[in-house]
Amino acid sequence: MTAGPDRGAAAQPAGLLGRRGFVGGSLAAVTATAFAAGTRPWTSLVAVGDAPLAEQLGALLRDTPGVRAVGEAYLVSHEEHRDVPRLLAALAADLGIQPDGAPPADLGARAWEAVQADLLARRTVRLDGWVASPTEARLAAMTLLVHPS
Amino acid sequence: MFADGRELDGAAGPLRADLCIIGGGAAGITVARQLVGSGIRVVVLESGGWEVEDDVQDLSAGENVGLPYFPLETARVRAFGGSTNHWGGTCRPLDARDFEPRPGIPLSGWPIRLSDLEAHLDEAGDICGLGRPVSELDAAEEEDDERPLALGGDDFEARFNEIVADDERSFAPRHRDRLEAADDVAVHLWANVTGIVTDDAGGHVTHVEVATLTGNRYVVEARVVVLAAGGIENARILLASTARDPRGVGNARDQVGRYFMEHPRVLAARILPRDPEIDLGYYEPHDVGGDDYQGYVGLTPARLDQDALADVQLRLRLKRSAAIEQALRSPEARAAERLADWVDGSGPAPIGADLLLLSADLATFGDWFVPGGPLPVPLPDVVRRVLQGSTSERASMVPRLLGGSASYVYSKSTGAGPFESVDVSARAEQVPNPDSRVTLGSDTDALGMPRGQVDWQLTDVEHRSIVRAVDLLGAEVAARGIGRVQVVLPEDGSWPADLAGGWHHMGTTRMSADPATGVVDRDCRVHGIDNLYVAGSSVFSTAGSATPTLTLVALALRLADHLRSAWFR
Ligand SMILES: Cc1cc2nc3c(=O)[nH]c(=O)nc-3n(C[C@H](O)[C@H](O)[C@H](O)COP(=O)(O)OP(=O)(O)OC[C@H]3O[C@@H](n4cnc5c(N)ncnc54)[C@H](O)[C@@H]3O)c2cc1C
Repeated sequence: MTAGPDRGAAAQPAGLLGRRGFVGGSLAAVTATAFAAGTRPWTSLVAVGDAPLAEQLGALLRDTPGVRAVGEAYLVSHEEHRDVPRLLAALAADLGIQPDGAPPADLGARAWEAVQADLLARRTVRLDGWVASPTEARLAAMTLLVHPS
Repeated sequence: MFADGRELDGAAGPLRADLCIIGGGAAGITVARQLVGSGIRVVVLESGGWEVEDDVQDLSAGENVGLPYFPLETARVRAFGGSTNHWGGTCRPLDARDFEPRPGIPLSGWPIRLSDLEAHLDEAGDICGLGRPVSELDAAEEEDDERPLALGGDDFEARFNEIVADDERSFAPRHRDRLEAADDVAVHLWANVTGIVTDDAGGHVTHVEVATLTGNRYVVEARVVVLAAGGIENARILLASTARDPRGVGNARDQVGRYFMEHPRVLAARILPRDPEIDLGYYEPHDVGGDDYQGYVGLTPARLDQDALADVQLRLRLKRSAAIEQALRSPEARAAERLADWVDGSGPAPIGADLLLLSADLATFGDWFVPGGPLPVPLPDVVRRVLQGSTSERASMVPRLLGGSASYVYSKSTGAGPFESVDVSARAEQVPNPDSRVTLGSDTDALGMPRGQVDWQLTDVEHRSIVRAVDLLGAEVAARGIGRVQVVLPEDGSWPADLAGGWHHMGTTRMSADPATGVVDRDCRVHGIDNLYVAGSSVFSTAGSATPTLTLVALALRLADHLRSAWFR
């Protein structure tokens, strides 16, 4: 399977973005806005400049309240990943890269492929009921951790 | 011919027949109609008359002591035709694998295989009122213009139910004439069986006791008896027949009434689709070559086996947003509907329903109205077609215009999209569980018979199977870019308040080669009694996820064949 920056939005997993008013309730309402239709979930599928890996991973998803809520929901059930190096190690393993090396140029594509591979292998986590790939949940957690509000 | 049980002379001594059938519903009617003209003298004893009557219906009342269930007197119809007077008409045969031993499903494996029933399925479909032979179900699927969602891989398959047309559903009008004209079949209406009596040894039924609500009582003696009173009443009648044995008839091994199975139904998940105009026509009832079908999402046998799951049907339905629902109930929407009927000239008609749908369809707006305008102004070409068109064209266009305007106004005023999500409701196969059971209550009915009591119990297998099915759906829907899934069924194994059944009563006299785990043998004969048989879904060894009536009718046809060859050759 190939993936890359030019892959159309339709072929990407419907990702972390919002549509209004899907469900009531506090956390449910916010996480719902993360899993939605319409626009591209990923900010970019290429690496940004020469920022450290953790920051680059944390920039792959749009920094929206929905994505942050997903990240928080993930961290509630995976407290150990509040520790950035540990979360980084897990994500590096997801993407098949070195946690301490330079970020590869195709970081976004790799992330996208890892999410797709999770879904096809039925490796999922539940976040407030939403069925998600653990990789995307960890990416959302990274977004939250590298950009604390 | 038909007779009124209230007027038969009980004092004139036992009424004699070759075959006595207890119950004139789907199963009883099927057995009786097969024997018309055979020379076998058949008596059908049916509790009800031609219509639902409160005092007759009350004979089915009883207590629910397990999971919340329908009030029993509303879960079955006591009238000629039985519950086919109210059924939904959804049909699908059980799969071949339903009859086989399966991983994770306790007591799975019937003493018979689908191949033992296959020869009867087309006729069963015809008796049920299906438009097309059951054997052509796959062909119908190929002809279908509606397409299922592109789910696939190794986990999912698109599957199909056929639905009997409204006016063909009830067995009463469909089969009445044939029975009425038959000299060798007598259907007694308003005739309630209150007991089946055996000889002292308990191995042979000698007679059946009948009582009417007007106080008449009589006895029917027959060589063979078929119990076909429905999944709850079959067990109740056997348990209440204590003239020779306090445990009831056929209950020496304490099996009667156990394994009560339903098709638990629950809102399991919601899909937030990527495409707000997602097409779910395949999952709505829709026409294929003149017959109605409705698709669902099924799991593949490989996945069911691999994860040791009970079978699950996932039905998909668009859920409109609350704002749209409210708007559709508004006086404005009603007025628009009346206007549409007026334009159509035909009074309340589907066109009104179309309007309601269209008014929730934002896409119409784009096709029919000036784009980007502050108000819904029809395109000039649309205006011209309305003004110059024929009455029928106007009839089809005006509601669309109104619909487009309505949806414009709704969306502007509420900010809501046309629908909120896709509801995923799961209908699961319930697995055999001896603790889910029908027993007798302490109360009695108007005829002095102990009332039935239902203790509906589910196991973790059904819950786990539904959760797994929607988890898999969540991964697949996301992987294919269709949308995202939120599971709403609690993960802790508990059942939410919307848990219901499908009005399917199965398993209470289950078929089992071993009398220790069931009540009837492979011929539907009660273990240990030479001349007592059971017809209906109470004989199902396992439930499958398919609706039961088609299969129980096929079983009844097979039983009729067996009775001819074993008893009346
Ligand atoms: C609302 C509803 C919707 C349904 N939808 C579907 C569906 O879509 N698809 C499907 O496959 N199934 C459906 N069913 C189930 C379907 O109706 C039954 O599977 C079918 O009617 C069972 O046939 P039966 O002959 O075993 O029992 P019944 O149809 O219940 O007939 C039993 C007959 O026995 C009579 N009887 C009971 N006790 C006595 C007694 N003591 N003496 C004499 N007579 C007695 C009753 O009056 C009744 O006429 C539905 C049921 C309901 C209530």
